[in-house]
Amino acid sequence: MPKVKGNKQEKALRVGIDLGTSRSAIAASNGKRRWVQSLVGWPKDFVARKMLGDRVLFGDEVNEHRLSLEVVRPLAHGVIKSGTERDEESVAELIGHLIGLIEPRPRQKIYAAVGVPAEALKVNKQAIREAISGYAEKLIVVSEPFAVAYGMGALDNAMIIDMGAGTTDFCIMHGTMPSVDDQRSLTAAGDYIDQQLLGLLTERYPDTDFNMNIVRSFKEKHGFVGDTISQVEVEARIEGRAVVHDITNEMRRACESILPAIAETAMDMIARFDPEYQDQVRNNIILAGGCSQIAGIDTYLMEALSEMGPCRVSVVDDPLYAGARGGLALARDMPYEYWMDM
Amino acid sequence: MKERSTSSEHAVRAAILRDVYRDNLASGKRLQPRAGRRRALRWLGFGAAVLLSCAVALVTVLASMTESRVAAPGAGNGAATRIADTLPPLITDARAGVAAGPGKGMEWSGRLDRADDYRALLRRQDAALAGLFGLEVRTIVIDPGHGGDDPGAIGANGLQEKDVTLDIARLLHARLRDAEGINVVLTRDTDVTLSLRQRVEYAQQLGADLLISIHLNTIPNDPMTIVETYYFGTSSDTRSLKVAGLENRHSGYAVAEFDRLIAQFGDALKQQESRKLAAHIQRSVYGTLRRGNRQIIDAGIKSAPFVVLLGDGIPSVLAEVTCISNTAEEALLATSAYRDRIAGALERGVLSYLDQLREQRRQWPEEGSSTYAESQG
Repeated sequence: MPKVKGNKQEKALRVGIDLGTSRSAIAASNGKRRWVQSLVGWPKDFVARKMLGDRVLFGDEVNEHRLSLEVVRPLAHGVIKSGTERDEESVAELIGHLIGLIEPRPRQKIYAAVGVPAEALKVNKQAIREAISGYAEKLIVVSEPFAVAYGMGALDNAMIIDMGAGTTDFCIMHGTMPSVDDQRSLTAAGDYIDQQLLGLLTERYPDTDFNMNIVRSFKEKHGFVGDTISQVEVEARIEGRAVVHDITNEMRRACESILPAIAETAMDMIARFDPEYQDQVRNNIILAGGCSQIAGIDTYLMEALSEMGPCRVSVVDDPLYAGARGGLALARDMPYEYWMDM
Repeated sequence: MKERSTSSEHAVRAAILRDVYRDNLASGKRLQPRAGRRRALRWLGFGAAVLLSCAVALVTVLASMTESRVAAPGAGNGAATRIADTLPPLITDARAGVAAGPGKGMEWSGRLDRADDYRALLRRQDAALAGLFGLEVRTIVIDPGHGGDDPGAIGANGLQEKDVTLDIARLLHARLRDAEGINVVLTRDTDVTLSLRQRVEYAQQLGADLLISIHLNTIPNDPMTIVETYYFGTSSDTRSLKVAGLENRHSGYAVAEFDRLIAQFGDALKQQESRKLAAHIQRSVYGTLRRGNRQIIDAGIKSAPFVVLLGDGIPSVLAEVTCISNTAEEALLATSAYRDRIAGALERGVLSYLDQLREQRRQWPEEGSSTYAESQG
């Protein structure tokens, strides 16, 4: 790290932002870190605006007041949805909100490294840059799995599988910044599990009231693949009455539904990698993202991939902040003269 | 030892940071200081307004020049030519000159003087009409099937047809865009809902010379994978009609309008060129995918009444490039490399069609002949 103009470097606040489909997180060089659901709510009319007292709401507040709001999940399916102005505006507002949460000093400069879903990077990188540019003096945009890899120091002969809500992103690291060929995306991810689970539960318990939010909370609390030692029982409602349902089989089926495509893509990517280093990559597979927290998912994938030879699959310790921490590491390590050119 | 490993990791990090820096520098504009951003935007707005005014003035002047050329007797030869514009004038002698001029895209210098010549010509299925009139392809519209609220077919693992077709279309767009002198346009570049009617009308507004609609097939309860390419026409094949029914779900046309449009559909040139384009694309896509999958079936080119292929006078094809219902194929489609492979195959099909069109222009009609009948000896 060059020591040029050290004082100016110290003054700027470095932040790493993980702009996720479902949740977005920020970690800053002042030691603060925060996350919110990637939900932006715009009051539907002046009555709603007056009642809510704000022109835009974020995260849990959006769920709480959703009937009065036009709800935008700007990175649904991993890209800025439809490329509409409202979605771009929502991304910008979300970034502004996140930066506000880490409480920079007044007029403090922000140098931000933002991780976005790999597809978004490919499809509308410029739109994302525009959306973020209003809140940062200097900005770099990278793919989420790459940010995770950088933060964990998995820089060479490693595969990151970032299992998010909208997409599952794959990235092979081989000592350089991954190119398009080193990265792939699947829509087999958390949202797909939720859809499957909702379908299976509605079929089995047609009288019970389920919706996407409810089944998502079931998945986050009880999600598993493979064998389980205990039954999964959840409380639900039939016409307002509380009932308890056994959803063990449905949960397993829904959670396992995304795994064949993930295993197959991982195998294909490894098979295309330099044969000399395939063993090393196979033994350095790291799962990140919300879906990596589904119980047994590492073991399941390890078994599925073992047909190529022995392999080791690990799960990041802190999936919620792994991307933001990686972004912060990038923002901190980036030489000052590089920042000056951005 | 540890020191060496730390120093090596430091070197790797430095190299990665340099890559990140270069990548971001290449892809993004330098951010402007926040304080000056509004002022810069105001100047940008002023500049855009000036440019827009200039563009409007230029377009007005060009339009009036074009109108005056077409209006002048025997003139109009240099006017921009679109297949859609050119076809109707063929049926009257007075307009024959439009198709006979020496302008770009109208290299044939002969004349068709008798109406009988046209009728005879249009009846012939083997006559290469586009080649005969020296027509060029200037605008290609690529239509990624489905989109927005209409996901199209969905694979067993959740892959949606609309996402795959969009990516293939973008890749094809990027490949064809580099071809000299061709304007390539997408009907949609994002995940947006478009009715089939809007797609057809958009292609017509653009004066498209070719329309390529990209789709994925689905064959329920059957693991087979087929490649097939359609052009507009009637069909007695039940499966083709079923495929057309599925793809026509969001047409935006009323029944009466649709009947009228089908009745209008009788132009020989469009059908002839659509069939040829379909054949080139089918051969290329099947040939490419067959190399990686020996089980894939060549279902050939077929005609069926797809709404998206209705565009008046625009040679159009609908390529069902593979089957998303086959799980192995779905997994491959989820990979960007495979989607790029399909885009490459489509590109080769289009370019091979264009090569053949150029070849026809060079060969037809024989030098010295002034009518179709004469050229036939």
